Amino acid sequence: MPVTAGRTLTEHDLGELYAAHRLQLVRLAVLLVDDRGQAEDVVQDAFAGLAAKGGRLREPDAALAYLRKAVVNRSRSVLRRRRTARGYVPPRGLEDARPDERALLAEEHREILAALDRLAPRQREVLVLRYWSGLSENEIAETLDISGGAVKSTASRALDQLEALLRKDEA
Amino acid sequence: MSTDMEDRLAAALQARAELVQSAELGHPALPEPAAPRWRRPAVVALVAAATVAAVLVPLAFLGHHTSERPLPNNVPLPPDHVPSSRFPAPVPKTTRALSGDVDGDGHPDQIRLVGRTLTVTLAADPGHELTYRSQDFAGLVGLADIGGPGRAVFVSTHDLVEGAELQAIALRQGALQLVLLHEPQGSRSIGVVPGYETSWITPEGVAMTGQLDPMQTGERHLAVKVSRVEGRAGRPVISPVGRWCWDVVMQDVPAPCPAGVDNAFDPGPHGSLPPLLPRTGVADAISPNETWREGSTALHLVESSVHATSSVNQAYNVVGTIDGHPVSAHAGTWQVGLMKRFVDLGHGVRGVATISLDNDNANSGWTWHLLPFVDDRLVSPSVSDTLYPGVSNVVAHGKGHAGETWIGPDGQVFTSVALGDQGYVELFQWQVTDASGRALEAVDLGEVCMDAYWGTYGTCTS
Repeated sequence: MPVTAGRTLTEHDLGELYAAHRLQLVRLAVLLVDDRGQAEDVVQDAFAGLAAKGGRLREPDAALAYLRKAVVNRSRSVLRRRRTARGYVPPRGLEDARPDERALLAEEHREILAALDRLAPRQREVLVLRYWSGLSENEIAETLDISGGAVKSTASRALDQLEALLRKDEA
Repeated sequence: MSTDMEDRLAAALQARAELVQSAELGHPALPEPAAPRWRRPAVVALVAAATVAAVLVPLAFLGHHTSERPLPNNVPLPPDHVPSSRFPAPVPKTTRALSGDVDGDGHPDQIRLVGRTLTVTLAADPGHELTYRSQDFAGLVGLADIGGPGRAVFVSTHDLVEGAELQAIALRQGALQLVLLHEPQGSRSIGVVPGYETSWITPEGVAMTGQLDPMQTGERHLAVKVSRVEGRAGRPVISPVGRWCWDVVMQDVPAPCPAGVDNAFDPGPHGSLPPLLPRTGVADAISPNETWREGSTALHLVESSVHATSSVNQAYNVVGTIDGHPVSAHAGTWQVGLMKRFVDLGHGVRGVATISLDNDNANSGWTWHLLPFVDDRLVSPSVSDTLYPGVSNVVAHGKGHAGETWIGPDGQVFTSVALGDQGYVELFQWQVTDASGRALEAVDLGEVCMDAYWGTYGTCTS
């Protein structure tokens, strides 16, 4: 949505952002937390946070970047809390996706996603932002608050490890 | 890295993402700002004025925000779910006869449960009985608005493995029918399940349900994620209300938390506990190729001079300067990270913390390496008291009991080991045994009730 630079976000702007980007942000969160309900909550919280500071966003044009960053950070919190509550809530990896969702995924995709689930959170974030969101290195660096070099090296190592994990599983 | 791998990954991510379609999403509206509604002035004033229970709070003030803890919403009870003896075990109060407006004509109708048969005699047609039979009916709970012309009768059943389900029976097209309650993820009933869920009907005729927060459950005080049933476009919808507190001794049902209360554990003082929250955890570590700078300290991670054939076996060192002194020490193997702050290891010793997976088993959890800085160099200490035998330099989670390690706000390093119930942990603090920094030990601080999500903790009274 075109948010004109130099003015603050209005409720209308937020509504347009919500309509235009909610689905993609929920999908991003699903790829990070593997749970649709939690992904929706993450995105809802991100928009609520933006609504709370809409008038004070220094760069209104950066609203989408802000939301993307909020989704990544909140997804990270979900994963942290999930570790804490592991004894109560079963880990919700791909195996816990809805049965109809599981059935809809090809075996090869399931294997790759299961391996992705075993990477460190930051590696997973970098891969999702790069290979699904299609962000540039700079955009990923900005989203994750790391350097461009760290994005490159993390992605490279993450792909290596993904490949190694798949080989190991095949063996 | 290969192009093939990238293509396969991109295709898998795309396939997974496309399983989420717009039409299936809940939350159709832009959310309100993320301030917990029950902490807003109007509600705080309201709560201060209300002296007892939720039922006294006008429902006009109940909101639909979603900034609550992401509880395991709509997750069925685990097959091995066993209610803890710590949890209260509420049972719905039932009766065999009620009166209320079932058909919406403004006159009270007579409702009875005879055996397993629900019988309604309408005031408008006293000579005719409407019936609905179920083998599971056990008692009448009350009447509530669910979005139809009259009120629904909520009947307690015994068809859960434990606890009770409250089924809504309403008059539809001239007959009594079971009505399911809707929410974004599907339809369901509400229930009373020890340790998991409680439900009740307010005197105003609103059906309420609440999931007990598994992280804040004391013998007497609980946190509850509360929802209400309301009619929208003629159908019953379960709508979130907020996080409430429940003193099971003083209150029959959950109520908005009193002003200033954010801890639903049984009251316990902080006592001599050091500051535990907020915490710095593994997500706050930097990766190789990044540098942590603080004053005259600059540290980063480099591959050890011994190059491994696989990245999984590649060791890393933490190198750089601390207070201008050059330092180097083993930091771990695989997935190595460096915490961006000094840690307080007791006896006046500060140190550096790194994390790693340390072996090729991705499920083994993080290993923390605590490196005291003594005599201008980093020391690799022995561990005189290990929580998890077999893991070097201690402090891992994922080994044996579920555990978690973090750095507290004052730089101390803690490991919590989960006890039987969520939120109840045995807490350990990592300290050097003396100022030489050559040995680390886990000092047992005792049982602590802690909820990192809400940032609250204290000693447990139960």
